[in-house]
Amino acid sequence: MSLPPFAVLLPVAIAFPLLVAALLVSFAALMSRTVRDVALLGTTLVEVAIAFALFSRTLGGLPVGYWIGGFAPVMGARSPVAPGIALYADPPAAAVVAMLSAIFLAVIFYAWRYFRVVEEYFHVMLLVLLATMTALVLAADIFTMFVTFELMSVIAYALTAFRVEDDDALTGAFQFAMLGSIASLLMMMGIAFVYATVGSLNLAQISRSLGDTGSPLAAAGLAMVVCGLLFKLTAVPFHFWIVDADTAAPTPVAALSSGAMTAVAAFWIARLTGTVIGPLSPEIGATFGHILLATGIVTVWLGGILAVFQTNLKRLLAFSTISHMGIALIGIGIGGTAALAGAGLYAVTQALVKAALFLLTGLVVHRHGMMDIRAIRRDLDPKHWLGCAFIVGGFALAGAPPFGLWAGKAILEEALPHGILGTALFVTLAGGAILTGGAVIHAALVAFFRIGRPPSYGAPPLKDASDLSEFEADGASPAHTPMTLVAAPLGLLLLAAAVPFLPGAIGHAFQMASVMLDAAAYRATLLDGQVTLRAVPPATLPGITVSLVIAAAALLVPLGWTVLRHELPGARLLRMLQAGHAAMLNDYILWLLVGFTALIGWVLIAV
Amino acid sequence: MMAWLPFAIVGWIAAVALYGIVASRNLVNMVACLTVLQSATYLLFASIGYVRDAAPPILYAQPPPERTVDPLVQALCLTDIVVGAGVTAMLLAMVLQIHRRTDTISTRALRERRRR
Repeated sequence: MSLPPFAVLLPVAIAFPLLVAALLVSFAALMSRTVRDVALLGTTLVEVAIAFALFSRTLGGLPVGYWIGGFAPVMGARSPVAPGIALYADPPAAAVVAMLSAIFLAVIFYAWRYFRVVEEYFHVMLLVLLATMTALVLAADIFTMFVTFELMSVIAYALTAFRVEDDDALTGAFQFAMLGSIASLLMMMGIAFVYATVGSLNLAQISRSLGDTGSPLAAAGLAMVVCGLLFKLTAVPFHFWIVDADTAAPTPVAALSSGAMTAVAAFWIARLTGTVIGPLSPEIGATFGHILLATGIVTVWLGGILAVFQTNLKRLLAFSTISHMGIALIGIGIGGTAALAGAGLYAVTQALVKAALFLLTGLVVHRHGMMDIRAIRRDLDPKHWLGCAFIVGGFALAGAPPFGLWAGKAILEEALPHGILGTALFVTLAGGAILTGGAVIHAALVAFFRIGRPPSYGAPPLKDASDLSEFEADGASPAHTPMTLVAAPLGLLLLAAAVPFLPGAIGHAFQMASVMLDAAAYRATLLDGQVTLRAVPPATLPGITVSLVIAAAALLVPLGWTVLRHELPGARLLRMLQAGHAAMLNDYILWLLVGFTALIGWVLIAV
Repeated sequence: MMAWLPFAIVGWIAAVALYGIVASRNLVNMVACLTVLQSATYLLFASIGYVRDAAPPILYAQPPPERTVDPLVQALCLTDIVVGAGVTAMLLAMVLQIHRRTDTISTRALRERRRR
């Protein structure tokens, strides 16, 4: 284990924002908006500092662990027993915490001037969200994971419904809350099954006790936990919540839930796969891999295809999140260091780019007052620089160099298996990139440059343009855009572009992936206190040719919309898919239950 | 044989609750069925921790009991109850707001409003 000074950073990173949030709530009446903003920004800067201190510490390969209350593992009958609750930061966890703090900093910087009037609850809830997400990433205990997951979700539900005057926001938040609560309860039942098998909640202890037993009850329990995480990851068929929630949530909230929360869920799926599911038994590990692979493929295609047909900018971005998370799932499902390194790099940089795009959408709302590209197109004074920013973001989503998504996808492509499956996966990855990136580029071209035809096939009729997003951006007058609103998304895009070029970044991605997959080292460090230093493999930047071709192919989407004027052969299916995503809450819940049953059934049959 | 009865009851309650959630078109009804699902999880935790012929886990009692039921699971159950209470309160607050704004709490009506 590491020296005490660094270990103390872990609980401080969680407790400090909570403390500031408590102070804000208690003394809200005495504080002006400025004081609250300063407190929020200051706390976030402290969190960023802590995150980067942790990150630089673990980059050398030295993980940082902390047992809460000093309840370190004790010697049991044969091996160490862990009665306490641990917080653990190894290189991948520290990287995700750093990503979280960077996104939060950008979003809070943005929200500072975005809302003209906002109650103190917003600042308080953002701080609690930051604290719970950090705690979720640092948790080394399956019940701590559940509690922080639930807390993060509850705050997200409340933040999505922040503008209670907007009934779209309320509906979206209620659907999110209902689906999320059901998924969490089923996840908790899964944790209960795992506990029933092992008798411990500590992840390292579970890994040690479960290893090689191949218990079907534990497998079913883990399947339920993974399903709960897949819900937060927006995998099909658990993806319905993000479509309505992100469309109606306030822009900073949508940026956080689409960008950061999904990446954290992906991190935890990879963590569970590496430490618990993999060692359980080779058959179960392989089954979970197949499940994640199949789910990922369906998710990529569904998200990508539907993204092309959206006219609402935020809804489009929500579908593209779904698609990109499918790519991350494929990487986790293939297994192995290289695929996981690619998937991890992809998920983290996707979070940065997606948050940037959502913040840009907020700028669109701020200047044009609407989110529908058909309405923006009719505006007399479209802002071309916004359109250019969207096009750059679209190319980033399509995997164009130099943005991190290129590096992640290229590493993933190199790790694909050979044969028919590998070719199918390559086509899926390329398809997802082209469809999502192309959809964003097409939307920007239609809205800001009036090039091309807006999407049809089940797009909702254009309502009176004024009633869209009137509840947002009651900020500064559209004539003057504060610099912070522009700086935050551009900063995130620059960060996403810089990540692959940071010294040793690719090598560290491989090192982090191998750390995630090494259950033995995890157990040894947490339970026995033995640290194995892991070398950083020298790695070069992946090739750019394939990625450039695929990114250029993203232009096929706007080209297709302009050229293909006849009714597409699959138009009826497309309309059904669109209608399926504007259905009753009961339908979404039914899909969630179908997904749970199918995945758990698959695991039980294979065991 | 009786050992699996609590778990069968957990399964039954969960099934009834899930059916109720899927079949309810009134938002308050949906939240109430979610509460029933929460009860199923409480029962699951309690059943897992049960040890036959064991004392409650009061370890400071004199003399200390030789076998107790699992106290960890009871702590999990309490956490679960607290989280469930918070979520239910928030869901009902949302339903109240939805009713205040749209004068309806039917899921079908919510879909129609969105489509319009």
